[in-house]
Amino acid sequence: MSDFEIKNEVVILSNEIFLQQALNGGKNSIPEADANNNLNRNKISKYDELIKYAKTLLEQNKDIKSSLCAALKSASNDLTEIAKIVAATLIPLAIGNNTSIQLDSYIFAGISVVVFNAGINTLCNEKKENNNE
Amino acid sequence: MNDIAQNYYSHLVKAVITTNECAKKFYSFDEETHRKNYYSHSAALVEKDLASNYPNLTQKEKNIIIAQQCEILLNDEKQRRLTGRSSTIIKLEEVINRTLSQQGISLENFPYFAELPTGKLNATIIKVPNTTQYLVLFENQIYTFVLLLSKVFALSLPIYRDRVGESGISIDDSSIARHLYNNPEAFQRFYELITAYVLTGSVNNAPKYIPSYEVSYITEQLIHSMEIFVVAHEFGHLINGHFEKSNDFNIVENYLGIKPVNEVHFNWNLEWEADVTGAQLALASSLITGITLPWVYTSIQLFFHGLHFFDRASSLFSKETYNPEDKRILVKSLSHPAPALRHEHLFGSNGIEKDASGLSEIVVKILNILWYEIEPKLLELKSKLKTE
Repeated sequence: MSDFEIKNEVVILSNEIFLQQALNGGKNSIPEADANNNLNRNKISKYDELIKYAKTLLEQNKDIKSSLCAALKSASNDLTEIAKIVAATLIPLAIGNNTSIQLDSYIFAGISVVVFNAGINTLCNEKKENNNE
Repeated sequence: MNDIAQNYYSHLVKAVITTNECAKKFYSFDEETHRKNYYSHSAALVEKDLASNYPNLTQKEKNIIIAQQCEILLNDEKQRRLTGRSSTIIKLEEVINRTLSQQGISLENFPYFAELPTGKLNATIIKVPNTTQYLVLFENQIYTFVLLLSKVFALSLPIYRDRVGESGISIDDSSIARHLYNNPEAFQRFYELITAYVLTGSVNNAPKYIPSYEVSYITEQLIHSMEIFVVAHEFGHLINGHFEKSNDFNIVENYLGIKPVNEVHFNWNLEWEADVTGAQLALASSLITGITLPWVYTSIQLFFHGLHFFDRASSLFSKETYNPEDKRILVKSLSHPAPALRHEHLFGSNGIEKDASGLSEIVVKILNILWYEIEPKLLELKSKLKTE
């Protein structure tokens, strides 16, 4: 898979995760069949796990977070833009010497959603505050 | 102000365009194709309307009015795709807002209404994470479902004109049956609607048709009140604090690490509560819309019974052996009670008062006649599809 294909996959997956999580908390006026609901629930719980994993990964690996923050400095709070930058930053880390991150579009997408939900400023200012401590 | 909700909505739109083919199609708006469609379909409807209400207009005058109407529809469609807010959504928002004020119900933040083209048949209310703002989202197929169901029902009504030219509806069983069997178009349209939903997954694939002026007028009343009921149901969740209750529920679920045994009853109670509040608001809205109460009642009944027959058709096609007497086939979801149960509860002891006019009572009769007429054809189609 080329870098370009990985980036595209990360963009689509991150948007899919964001959308599924947003709509999952909703109250529908018409029920969905349980068969569909169960599929959806399984998907959502996988996404929830992924988001938890991505959060932990960012908390425990300051080098990854600081690389991302540096790359995201001038980015807007747009999920697609964030996903592209996250993929472009993490692909070289994953195929290089950094053993704490795997070359996995799902993980990159999870990280993109975590960054988007927290907001670039909030996430990256947190880092500065921690550094000041 | 619901600016945070608006901003969140713009992110949802971007996400749905990135991930959903149906949304991509929806947003690739081709003005010329739409203009042609409007001039071929809507123009005919306007022309029928003019012929019936303004028979003395010249063809030139008619053409000017038709062109104006088509441009209004086209602009609305453009607006719908640019902002996610059609004139229908804006009107609904206004009606609900005014109904709440009139009922003395105040909300901390009035939800932002918009369309999200996911290709599904639903309407939903979601809370913007970490805020007290909400979004009411309409998925594409809900409009078509409401429109086509209302049209089929209106086609089934025995409409008469008295000596002075006033229209009326006969609601006795024999008039209804006679009308349906003498004018079998409703059977065909119901069959088309059901098969489009069950076989293609989209009610949008049902053929389009233009009914008579009277049928269109009744359809309009039903569409508008059914849409209000659907949105009012969503407000029922909000007004009754279901988002907070759901959070408590999740805490219990997470704490125990298992699903509480009463999950189903819990969900169903929330839906029943939302239905009752929704129906009360929909009925109260008649003072604002001017739609008379019998039509509001009829639209609520039509919503539940229409869904009931959609579920029935899904069971017919999905189950190997279809037994129409088996009530379990109709329990489709643990999140919501079956539509028939929702209807029963709504008009039960903890629900709302029944329709005094009796008009809405004919919904069940009509849908039953329609269903039993098309059921053998659906079974025939099922076996044909199986052998192919």
